[in-house]
Amino acid sequence: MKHDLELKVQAWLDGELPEHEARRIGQWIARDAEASALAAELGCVRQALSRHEAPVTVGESREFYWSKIERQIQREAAVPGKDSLPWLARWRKYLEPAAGVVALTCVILMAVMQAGSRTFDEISSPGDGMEAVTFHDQSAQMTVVWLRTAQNQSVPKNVRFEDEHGTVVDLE
Amino acid sequence: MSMDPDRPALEEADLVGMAQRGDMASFEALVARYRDKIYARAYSMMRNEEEALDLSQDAWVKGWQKLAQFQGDSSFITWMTRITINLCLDQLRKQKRLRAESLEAMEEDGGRGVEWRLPAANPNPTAGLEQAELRERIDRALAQLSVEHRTALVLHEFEDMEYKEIARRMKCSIGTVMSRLYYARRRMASLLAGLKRENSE
Amino acid sequence: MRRAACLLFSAFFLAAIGAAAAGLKLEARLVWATNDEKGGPNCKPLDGDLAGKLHGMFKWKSYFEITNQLACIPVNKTRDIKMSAHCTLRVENLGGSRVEITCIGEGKEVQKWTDTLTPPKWLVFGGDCENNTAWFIGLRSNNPEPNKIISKN
Repeated sequence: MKHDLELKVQAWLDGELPEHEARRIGQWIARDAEASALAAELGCVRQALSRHEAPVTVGESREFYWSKIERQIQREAAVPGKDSLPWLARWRKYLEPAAGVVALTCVILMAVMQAGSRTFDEISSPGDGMEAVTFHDQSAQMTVVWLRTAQNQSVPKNVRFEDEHGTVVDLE
Repeated sequence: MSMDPDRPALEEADLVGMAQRGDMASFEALVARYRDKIYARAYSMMRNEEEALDLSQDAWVKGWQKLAQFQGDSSFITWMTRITINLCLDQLRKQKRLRAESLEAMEEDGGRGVEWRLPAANPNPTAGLEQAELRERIDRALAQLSVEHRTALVLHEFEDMEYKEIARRMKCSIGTVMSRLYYARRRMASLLAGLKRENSE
Repeated sequence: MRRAACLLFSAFFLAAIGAAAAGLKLEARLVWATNDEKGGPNCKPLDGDLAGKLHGMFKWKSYFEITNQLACIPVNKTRDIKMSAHCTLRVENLGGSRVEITCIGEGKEVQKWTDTLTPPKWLVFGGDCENNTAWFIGLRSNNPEPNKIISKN
């Protein structure tokens, strides 16, 4: 069977043919064994798929799933949308190269400024009964967050922590 | 944010109306009601749990932003599913741009399989299968299709889209949609029959 | 000449933006510290620069790697990284190399931390274990260092 006829059988099955052509193709399918078998196969697959899509569920809790959506909504609400600035679309071809040069300059300046700076960090919220003690080692480029319970207030006895003068500091 | 225990009982139209007036709790109720359906649609297109999760959440964010545009011409879940599908198609196009090979050229050539060129040998490839088993086999067979073929199949069979709309969304011709659908269905028939043969051996 | 320089700058800028848009490539290692020379059956001696840094800061004799996980986290997205049967890290990529990390132990939130993970910096969480041993989770971004992108010539 030629491929365009095969596609016609499919289109007939899907109800995509104009009425007069659908009648003609339908009559041909009824007479032709090969076309009939093809229509049966395609129809069977179509029916199986439409009735047997595998049920899939979100693997996260309802609260966690929603919390991420809510946070993204709030984050994007803080930024003006593209649609509110239609003139930007027209001027984009002129502004983008200029913005690229400005951004590159900023990135270079930031890289230079960051070379000697400390890393920003913060404790957001420790769990119940937990505390965090932070050690920064600039030369090793490492930050350690030591977690300890309220009952066990000691820092690790083996830590060798030095201040900016190189003096070993006893944290206990 | 804790759920108002009365919200699950509210009609969809009431929830949508309140959400359109800025009531986030009503929107959360809609998310809770339909999150599995939206995730399932994203998963059927992306076949990757993490991507499907991210895209389903992006769809909800977009739904909130565009809520004023929902006029009730279709059901809310249909409207949300369309948003999800568009996001998935954008992501698939982005992934395709990053891939070196020309998938479209390969698929339009008929792909690797020759099943679609042969006469129909499986008039009833699902005969004798229990529902749960059939669902599982369909899922495994879908995973073996290429992105383009699976997308055409999902949009037609699961979303009841016409050829014209599929062509518009996939940004290709109607002829291409028809070829992709045809190949995908023939391949599915072959895979389902093949899986049946494997299990009976 | 000027045009070539503009093209070169644009290429490096786009590379940096592309790297940022592609997401955060995160490496997470669960480490056990002990004064014993031998670890258990699932332990392999910790290697790489993290071993040197932990040896330099702490005085345990041996450090063993229990798990090494890699994850790619798009901007504004969250991923759960399972470090062990009892411990999961929930990592949100806040963009600009900033991350929010939630340590979850036995299903409960133990610690939430926000920091900037600029390579080659390590962020290490640690705590006591029984018998004078300790656990550590080391996190590092495997994205290209920003200075290296800019200064590549």
